[in-house]
Formats: sequence, C-alpha cells, structure tokens
Amino acid sequence: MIDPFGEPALPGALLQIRALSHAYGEGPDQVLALRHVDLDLLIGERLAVMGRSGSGKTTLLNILAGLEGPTAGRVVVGGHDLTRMGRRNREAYRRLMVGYVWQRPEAGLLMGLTVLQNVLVPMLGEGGSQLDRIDAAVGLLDALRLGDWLYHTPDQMTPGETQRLAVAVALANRPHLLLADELTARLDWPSARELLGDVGALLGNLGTAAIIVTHDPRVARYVDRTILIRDGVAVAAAGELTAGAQGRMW
Amino acid sequence: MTAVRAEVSHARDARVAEAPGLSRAKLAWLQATRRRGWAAALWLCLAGAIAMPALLPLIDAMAVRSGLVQTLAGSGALTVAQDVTDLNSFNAFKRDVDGQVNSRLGPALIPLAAYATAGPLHVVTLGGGPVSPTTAQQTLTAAYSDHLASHVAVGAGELPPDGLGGGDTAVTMPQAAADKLGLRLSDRVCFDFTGAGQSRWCARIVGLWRPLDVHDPYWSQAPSSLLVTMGRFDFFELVKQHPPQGPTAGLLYRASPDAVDPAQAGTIGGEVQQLTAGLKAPHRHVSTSLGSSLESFHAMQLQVSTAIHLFAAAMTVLGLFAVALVGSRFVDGQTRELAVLRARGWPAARVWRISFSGLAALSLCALPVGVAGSLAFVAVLTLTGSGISPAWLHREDVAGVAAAMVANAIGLIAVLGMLAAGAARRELDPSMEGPFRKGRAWWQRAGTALVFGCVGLIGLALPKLPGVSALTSQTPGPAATLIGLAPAVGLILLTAAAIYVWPLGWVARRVSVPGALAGWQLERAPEQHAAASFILILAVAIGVFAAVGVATGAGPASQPSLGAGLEAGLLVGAVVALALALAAFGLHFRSTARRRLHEYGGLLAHGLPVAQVTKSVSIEQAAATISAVFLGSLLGLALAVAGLPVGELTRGTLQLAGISLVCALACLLLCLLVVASAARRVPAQVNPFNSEQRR
Repeated sequence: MIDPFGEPALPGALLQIRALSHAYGEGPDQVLALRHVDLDLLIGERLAVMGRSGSGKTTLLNILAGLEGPTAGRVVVGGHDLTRMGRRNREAYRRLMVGYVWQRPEAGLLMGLTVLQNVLVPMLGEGGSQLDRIDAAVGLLDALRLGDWLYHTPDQMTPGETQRLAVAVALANRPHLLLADELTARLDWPSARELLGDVGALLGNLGTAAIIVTHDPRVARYVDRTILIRDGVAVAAAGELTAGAQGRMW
Repeated sequence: MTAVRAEVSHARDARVAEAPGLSRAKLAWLQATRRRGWAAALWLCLAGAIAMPALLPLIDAMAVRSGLVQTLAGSGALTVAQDVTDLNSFNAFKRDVDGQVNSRLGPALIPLAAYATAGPLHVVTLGGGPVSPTTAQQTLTAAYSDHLASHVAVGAGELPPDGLGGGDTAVTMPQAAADKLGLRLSDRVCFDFTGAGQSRWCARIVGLWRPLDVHDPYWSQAPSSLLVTMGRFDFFELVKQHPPQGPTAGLLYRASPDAVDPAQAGTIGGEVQQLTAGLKAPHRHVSTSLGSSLESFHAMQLQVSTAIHLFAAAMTVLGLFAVALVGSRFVDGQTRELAVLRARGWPAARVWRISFSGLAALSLCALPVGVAGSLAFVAVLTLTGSGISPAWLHREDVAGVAAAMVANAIGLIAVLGMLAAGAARRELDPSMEGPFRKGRAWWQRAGTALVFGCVGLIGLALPKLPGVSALTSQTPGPAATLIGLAPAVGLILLTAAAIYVWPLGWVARRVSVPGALAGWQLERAPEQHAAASFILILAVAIGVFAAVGVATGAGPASQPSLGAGLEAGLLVGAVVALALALAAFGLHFRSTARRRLHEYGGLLAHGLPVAQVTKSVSIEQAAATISAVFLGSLLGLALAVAGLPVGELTRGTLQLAGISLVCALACLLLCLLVVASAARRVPAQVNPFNSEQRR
C-alpha cells in the first residue's frame, strides 16, 4: 500500500504530517509558527505535545482540526489530505473525523443549553434516530461521570465538570482523532488525573486517537508518546516512544 | 455483578426514554429565546414594524370610503324634473334622461325613483257624504311613484299592482296623512282639483303605509306627507282633469358608493357636471350638488391620503431600521455560539438556517400580534364614533392592505435573513470583539452628506414645486403617488446626511473621567451610534410631524371622516414610532454598556468605579439624544410643511402646534430618560473578564 506521499504506507497510520509549516503575517513581520514538522500517529494512539508558550502547539492543533490551513507541507488524516480539501469536505472532516477541546472549554459549549443538549447538538444531522442519539449521549456522559448533570446548564458546573462536558461534546460523533488543548490546565492534579483516566478509558472503548497539548510533564505518563515543539520545530522524532509511555495507564 | 449491570442499564434506559430530544428546529428556538428580554424586544419591534405599514393604509382606506359614503349620503342625489302632459310624454322623458345618464356615468349613478305629481287635491266627499270643514281645508298631492312597495311598510290593506283595472280606482296613502284627514282603510273618497266639487274623481283607499326610513333619499322629492298615491295609468287618467299644478314628472338618481372609486371621484364629479349641463332643456329642471361635492371630496382625499402614505413610508423605513438594529444586537448575542457550530464543522448554510429559523419564528409570532393590534385599533376607532367604519371597505382595499403587510413582512424577514447570514459567516474568535471600523475622512463624510442633503432637500420640496403640484393634482396615478412619497425619501436622506456630519463628541466635557471616556468613544468611532441616532432622529421627525398634523387640524373640517382618519393615523404612528425608537435605543445602549464594561475591564480591575463607566455611557446617550431631538424636530417640521394639508394658519393654531410639539418632545425625553437609565445599568457584581456576563 502506498500512502499519499508516495512512501510505503505506515501500517495502522491515522495521521501523517510531512514538512508542515505555518506562518502568520507577511513580509518582514512574518512569524513562523511551525517549521517543517513531520509526525505520524497510529489509530488509537495518544500523543502529548509539549512546548513553551508561543512554540506553535495550538497552531498545530488548529491545523489538525481544520480551523486553519497550513502555509506549506501536507497533512493526511484517515486518508483525507487536509491541504487539498475543499470547504465542504473540510466541514465534514471537522464534524466527523476530529473532536476538539478548546483551551477554555466553555468556548466550545452552548451555554444556554443543558448538558445533554450540548452533547446532542453535534449529532444533529448525522443520522440515527432520536432515541439512538440520546442513548449515545447519555452513555458518553455516564462514562465521563456527568450522568447526574443531564439537565443542568454549563454555567452551573465546576471547571472540572465543564472540562468533562467539553470532552463529551468533542467525542459525540465518535471521531477518529481527539484534539485537546491544555486539557488539564485549569484542574488540580488529582482532578486532572481522574479526568485523564476517564478520558483514556473512553478513548480506548471508542478506538479514538488523541493529541493533547500540555505544559504539564505529568500528563506524559498517560500517553503513548510525547513530542516537544520548540520555536515551531518538532524536537522528538515521529514514531519515537517516550519514557512516559512505559508507565501509561491507558 | 450481572444484576448490578442490569440495574444500571435499566436506569439508563429509563433516563433515555424520559429525556427530551433535540431537533434543529428546537435548537433554533432555544437559541432565539435564550435571552428572553432581547427576544421580547425584537418580537415587539417586529410586531410594530409589520403592522404599521398596513395599518396606516387601512385607516386611510376606511376614512376615504367612509368619507365617500358620507359625501354621497349628503349630496349624492341627482333629480331631473320636467312638466309632462300624458303617459307618453312621461315615458319619453324617462327614456331620454335614463339614456344620457347611463351613457355618461354607467353604474356610478343608479335610478332610484321615477315619479309624477299633480295637485292640489281636495277631499270633497267621504263615503258619499260631506267631509268635515277641517278635512275640506286640507290639500293633497296626487302622486305616482315607482317601486313604492320597496320603500314602505304597509300598515293596513295592500298596495295594488300598477295598472290593475276594475271598479273603483284604488289609491293608497301614508297612515299619517289618513289620520290627519280622518280617513280609514276602504273609505270611498271623492277628490276634486278645484275644491268646488265641479269635477269629482272618486277612489277607494285600499292601503295605508308608512315610510320604512324617512331619511331614505327616495323621499327627498316628496312634496309633502299628504300624498295620495296610485298607479301610473290612474294617475294620468286623473290629470286629464287639468290640475292647477302639474303634472310634473321627476327622475331621481343616486350615486352608488360601491360603483364610485374614490381615486376617480374627481373624474366622476366632472362627468356629473357635464351631464348636468347636457340634461338642461326648456321646462326641465336639474338639481344636484353631486359633481361639486365629489370634486371637493377628491381634492381633500388626495391631500389626506398623500399625508398618510407619506407617514406610512417614513414609518416603514423606521420599522426596517429599528428591526435591523435590534436584530443585529440580538444576533450579536448568538455569534459566539453560531461560531462554535461552524468550528465543529457545521456548514454555513446549516448554521444560517438555525439562526434564521429562530428569527423567522419570532417574526411569525409577531405577525398575529401585529394583525390583532391593528384590528383592535380599527375596532376602537369604529366604536368611538369617529365616523370611520370598516363596513365600507372593498375587497381590493383589504387585498391592498394585506399585500402591503406581506411585502413589508418579506422585507423584514429579508433583513433578518441578511443578519443571520452575517452571523453564520463569522468564525470562532475567542475575544468575540471585532475591531471598530476605521472612520472615514472628514471630506469623504462631508461629500456624502452634501449629496444626500441636496437630493433630500429636492425630495422634501418636490410635491410643493409649482409645476409638480399642478401635475399631481390633475393626473392622479402611480407617478403622482411616487411624487407624494418623495418627502419621505427626502427625510431619510437628510437624516443620513445629518448623521454623516453631526459631531456627537461636542457634548462630552473632557475635564472629568466619564467625559473623557465618552469623548474618546464618540470621536474614535462615531459610526457606532449612527444607526441608533438615525432611528431616533427619524422617530422624532415622525413624532413632530404627527404633533403638528394633529394640532393644526390638518384634516379638512368639511370631511370629518377624512380628518378623523388622518388624526388617528398620525397618533397611532407616533406612538408606534416612539416604541420602536425606544426599543432600538434601549437595546443599543444596553449592548454598548456591556461592551464598555469589557473594553474598560483593565481600568475596572485597577479601581475605576463602575459608576464612572455608567456615567460615560450616559454622556454617549445624551449626545445621541440631543442630536436626535434637535435634528429630528427640524426635519419633522420641514416634513409637515411639505406633506401635511395645512390650511390657513391662525395665531391660535400656531400656538396649539407649538404646545403640542413641546408636549411631544417632553414625552419623548421622559421616555428616553427612563429607557436610557435602564439600558446603561450593569451588573452589581462586575467581572469584566467573564465573557458570559458581558453579553
């Protein structure tokens, strides 16, 4: 099998990034956020992306989420080349292939809706009966310990619960890839650990891969690999297992 | 373990079964009604904006139709009288006049009665014996009148069919006349034209009747109530005895309100004048004031309708702008959540449908409210004895009003659709605060204002220009209607011109912190209050126009229905304009206050009191209000001069106009004060960094 880059396909590869660069601005004011990043991710694999503020982590996530287009390079997710996608395909990709958890989780929630309704919103228009959708949403919320919060609104919840809801919304359509920006940044470590455990179990059940941007090295213990981005350059080589993977709980 | 799992599964099944689902329609409704205050304000604005452009033409149509009916009831008859000698000459006269009337006016003038009279008659014997001196002194008129049975109620006996022969001649008479003469049913009475009994003519009274309606135009030509009526053949047999007066034949015609189009009333009036001249002949008398009445009615109706339509046009524009402003503030509140849906991959079209469905649902809810409000106002207008009634409306009037309402609703929904499209295109931006657009250079603004101002002045003055005013009065039609609406276009352009050049910042005194903040805001982006100022200026102009119109009694005194219609239209329009302006002003500055809270977040965190921010917003409000009151009053007065049918102005009228103007402005300022105070209120516990709170 030949992958889109003309290389031998990586067995079980979900994501392949080659020579990805992204710049903001033009001319002398141009800032390079990412430079020639290469990265592979297997189906069901979890990757932590670490780096200092402004190193390009969120830019990488935004590109993978289909929110921004890269300046150069190629990104293939599940056989779909993000750099060659039209508007419609990009929208379908965002709906079905990836789930995104924003750095401020409430940014991705509809504050006027209940917890259950928030999880049901991404499912609208994606097929299935009403009952199936509710069943799937309740199952997700149960798995994230929000089963008792179905009819509450996000503004009645703690930051940890809001973060869990954001994860549930991101996973509502059973995406192939979960992208989480600073998933645990607003939580104390016991809460973060509990959240990572629950999310890990859920991802395992769904067979969903994940990329988690974090500043916290402790998160690395819960993923298969960690890469470091420094000044837009991925430091750890793609495919290289980190020490944290040895002790991961997922 | 299995039992526990089964229990958990069962509990989940129960929750799934009980959980209310979510559809796109429900999501749209939840989004639209999430902020109930804003939804209610938009809903009310929509109701007012939908209703007014239809209610005002409806009032106009009712006033015009009622005025026409009243005009025709008062002077809608045409009578042609001529001396005749016998039945043949009567028939020839009738054929001639009917032919001329029918050929010139067709169904507009319908025959009401053909009659013939002769007299005076004296009662000489009753039942073969002499009559009392009182009865003998009374004189009666012998009459034939067709269609008598349709206009009387028979109290005793019957009305014999015309031309029935037989023994005694059968006559009928009013019950009142019989009572006065001491006659009864079945009496055999002999009459005589001289009173001396030289040539008696005897008849039997076979019916006594009374008029169904004494105000029926049918009776307008009856010479007296002492009538003896009989069939046409008997009448002309009787007149062979040479009555001293007559026989005189008469034909009575009545203008039909159903067949006279108010827009053509002037033309029909002219035709009646020509008919009157054509009918004139020796020994023939034509009597009518119908032609001049219709011409006079038409001239007044044209003025009143033009004023109401002008007012309706201004109200339509005000409604559209108010809905656009309130709608945009409403949609601004949804932008973040719509952007979340876009970021999650929803196509722009689907997001637009969610946003638009909510807005359209609010519009659909507003439509019946607007219709019900209009109907309630019409009912009040009818029941308060204004002389205006919907009973005379024609199907085409109602169709026209419905078409205006539908067209306006479509326009409003298109505006909401564009707002929703704008919201659906925006991408997710964490700050959710786009930068202000950079203001245009002063010379660009001045140039635009100059063009708008010149065209606006021409529009305002157009109907009063000598050649144009003569043209519109002589040739009514779509062109005349458009010329009549030109002042409304002029008003809007002049308002826009004023917005371009009016310096809002001069109100702010820079010596205080609130003054400095307000001055900075008003100078760096004066456009941010342009829409609210535009609506307020327009509303003030409409209010001033209405106040002047009502105070000067712009409605014609000779046409109470037209006057009442104009006043009612102006009053209800002014009230709705005030409500729309207050809603737009209030919601705009509520949004502004929240925005300032966010913009000055850093200053607030460093100790700037919230009261200072509130005060700075109040200065911005004052800047918009002062400019609106000043410019709106000027423009309203100009519009009143251009569009109202103001007659001769006396000192008293001018004083009244001044007083009502001051009262209207005081009322507006009072309402604005209350709304402005409520709008700039911010939460007691301020956290400017809470994105939800600032919305």
